[in-house]
Amino acid sequence: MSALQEEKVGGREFTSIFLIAVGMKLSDITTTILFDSGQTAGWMIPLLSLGFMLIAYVVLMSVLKRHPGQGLPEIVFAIGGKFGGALICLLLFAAALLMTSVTSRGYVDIINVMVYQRTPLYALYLMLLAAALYVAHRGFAAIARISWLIIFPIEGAIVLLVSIMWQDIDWLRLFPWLGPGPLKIVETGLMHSAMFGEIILATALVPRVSSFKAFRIGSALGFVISSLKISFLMAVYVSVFDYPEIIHIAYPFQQLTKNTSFGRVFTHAESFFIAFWLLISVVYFAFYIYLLAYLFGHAVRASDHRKLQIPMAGLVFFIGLVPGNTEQVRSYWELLMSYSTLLYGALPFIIWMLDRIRRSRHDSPQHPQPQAQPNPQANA
Amino acid sequence: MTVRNTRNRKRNRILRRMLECAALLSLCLLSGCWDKLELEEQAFVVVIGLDKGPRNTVEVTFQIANPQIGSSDIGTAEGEPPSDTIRFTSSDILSAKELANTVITRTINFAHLKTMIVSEELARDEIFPHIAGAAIRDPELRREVAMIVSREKAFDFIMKNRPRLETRPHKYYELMQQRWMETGYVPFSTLNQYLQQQVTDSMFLAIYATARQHNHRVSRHEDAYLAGQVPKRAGDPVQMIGAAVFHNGRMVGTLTGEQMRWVQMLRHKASVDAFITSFSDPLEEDAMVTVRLFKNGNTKIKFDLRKEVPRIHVTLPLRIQLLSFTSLEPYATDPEMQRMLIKHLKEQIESELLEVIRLSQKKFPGDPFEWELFARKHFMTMPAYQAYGWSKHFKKAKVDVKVELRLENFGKQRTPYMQTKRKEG
Repeated sequence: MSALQEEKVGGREFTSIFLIAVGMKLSDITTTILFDSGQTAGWMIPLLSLGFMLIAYVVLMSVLKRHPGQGLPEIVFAIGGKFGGALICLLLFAAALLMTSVTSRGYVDIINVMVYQRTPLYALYLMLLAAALYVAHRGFAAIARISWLIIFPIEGAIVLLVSIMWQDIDWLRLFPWLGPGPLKIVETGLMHSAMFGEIILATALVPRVSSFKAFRIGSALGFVISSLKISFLMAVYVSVFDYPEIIHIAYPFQQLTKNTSFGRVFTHAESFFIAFWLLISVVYFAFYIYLLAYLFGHAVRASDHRKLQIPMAGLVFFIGLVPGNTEQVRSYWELLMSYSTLLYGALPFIIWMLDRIRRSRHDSPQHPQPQAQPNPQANA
Repeated sequence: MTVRNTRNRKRNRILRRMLECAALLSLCLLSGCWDKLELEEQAFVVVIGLDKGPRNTVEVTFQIANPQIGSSDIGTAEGEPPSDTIRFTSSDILSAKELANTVITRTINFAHLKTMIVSEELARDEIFPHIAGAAIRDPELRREVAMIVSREKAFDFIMKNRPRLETRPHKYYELMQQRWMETGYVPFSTLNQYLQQQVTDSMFLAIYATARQHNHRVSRHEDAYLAGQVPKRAGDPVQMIGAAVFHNGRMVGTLTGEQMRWVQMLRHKASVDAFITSFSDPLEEDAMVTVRLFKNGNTKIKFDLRKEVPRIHVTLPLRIQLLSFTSLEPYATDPEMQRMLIKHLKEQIESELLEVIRLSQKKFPGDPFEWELFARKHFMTMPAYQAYGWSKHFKKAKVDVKVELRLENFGKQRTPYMQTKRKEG
């Protein structure tokens, strides 16, 4: 299997992938949509969503722990059989595919609206995906290494952005601190938990990481830090732009970079930040394309999932071009979020239950099946 | 045979690689033609003026900078003016931008637009929020654009504004902006703030300016003027002093330079931290005491919203430097007189602050002090705050102001010229 020939990824590289892939959400339409219902309390929603998603994550991890060296697809096939495994894998793949399409379209929209207005959408889309595909084709280790390489400059750029804007920040604008009311915030947080759906999808990549411990620490650290980062930046957006102005702004992050200047001489500092942002969006989508090919490859038991990357990028491109305009992208995103929250939330419990049933059946003395036990060890 | 075959195959592979490389390289060369910008073909608008046109249209004035002036390239542009001003009548700013290319040879670019001048007539019109709100959609138009309200038509203002000491128009506004921050005569107003404070419970203050001398009067307080009232002779015609007060995106009134300064002091975060002003002398009626005021930390604002009539306690920490006093009393050396002076100044500042607060409660539909941010603190949820209606309650609020004053120094002369004083007396 060619997957085995691929280099394994260390803990810090793995962590930086998540810092990028999840942290990216602070700059896209996710924040705008959360502000719509979260108002001045929008910054709490990412924390709540992560809280909900972490429950599912912990359940899933308890299953993963019992199957050392196996990722989500292998486990799903082991406990769900050929048919059930393929079904769950395809479901996850479909959710990830739609997510990637809508998100990438959102990014292309941002580039189109904020930077290159006269360039046709498809051209921007092609360029973004071609760059991402190129990185993805180099393999998971390459994505991880690039992430590790750029993670510090990126976090540095965010710190710089906030410190430049510091004098425009008025924390009083975060009041009333409960925004639309506690019930609404919790509801929105729950409904949008799928924005951290990567935490479930990422478990497919366990075999790619050097050790299970590295995976556990890396993913947990990546998600917690990223959600804190998103939450903090959302608080900064509100305290710079104020509510209700924040819901009028289509892309708060890009607007924030537009307001920055380095002293009186360099007044247009946004190009500096946009350059960083474009760089990480390429890595971000490279990760997604890799993940899509990986999931689909396992679902259909293809021998080399890397060959699936080009068709995956093509699929993303064509699905991404379906929404007519930027507002439709938003409504599709909302719709997708609520459905995939169901999937990501329920799936770990289903897997956990199936795993339990299977184990109790195998452990019971009526059906002594010696074949079942060595199975995971053989793969490890 | 096999050797030749492999060599051929190798050569083919190299050829293929080269073709691939060429195809990739051509991508770099051929792409990027959609949004290309030729620096030579740009016309940078530095000032935009907005006037009310007939039948819901807007008259847009562009002041376009000539980048050759003030650069080393001046030799080729001898005799060219530093900027060109043109006005178009159009339905909004963006369509005027295209329309301008019927006259101007270069592509109109807003990337370096720093200042927007709105005539008072348009600012008071109900169409203005629509025009400003529509224009901001263009990503080229920055939210950091300074907003100035001119008493006359914006076109006349831009035409008359030919500063003698600044050739390039963008430099003029850039420097003026620094002075606004220092003197506090005008609010530092940007389009960002205008859009932010377009909500019911908030007020926006914009820079008030004119290029025409209005009723010229002399006040004993050097800062109690509106734009156009400053007693000056000669020099540039443009004056910027005072504020245009906006509510719900429309102009509803004005504040003089003096009132503006106190408003800035009453805001919890002031954009100005020191200014020079004068007060009457406690010992001599005709004499004046001139001081430099510093804000000594943030203004503390405490609310009591439990009752129907809200109570507001404002504590303003200030420190002052005594610059001059025409009475020539020995304030510096006599501690008793010092105490009296401080008490007097404190009372004067407090009464002036209260006057501004009462005036805004009476004249304006909301509070210009950004106190709604503190009011928001007292509510758990946004719907509860909106139901409360802050501006309605502000109008009947009982406000008391306490100034904490520290006299820092007396300038570089210790004792006054008592000799002169005695002779006069």
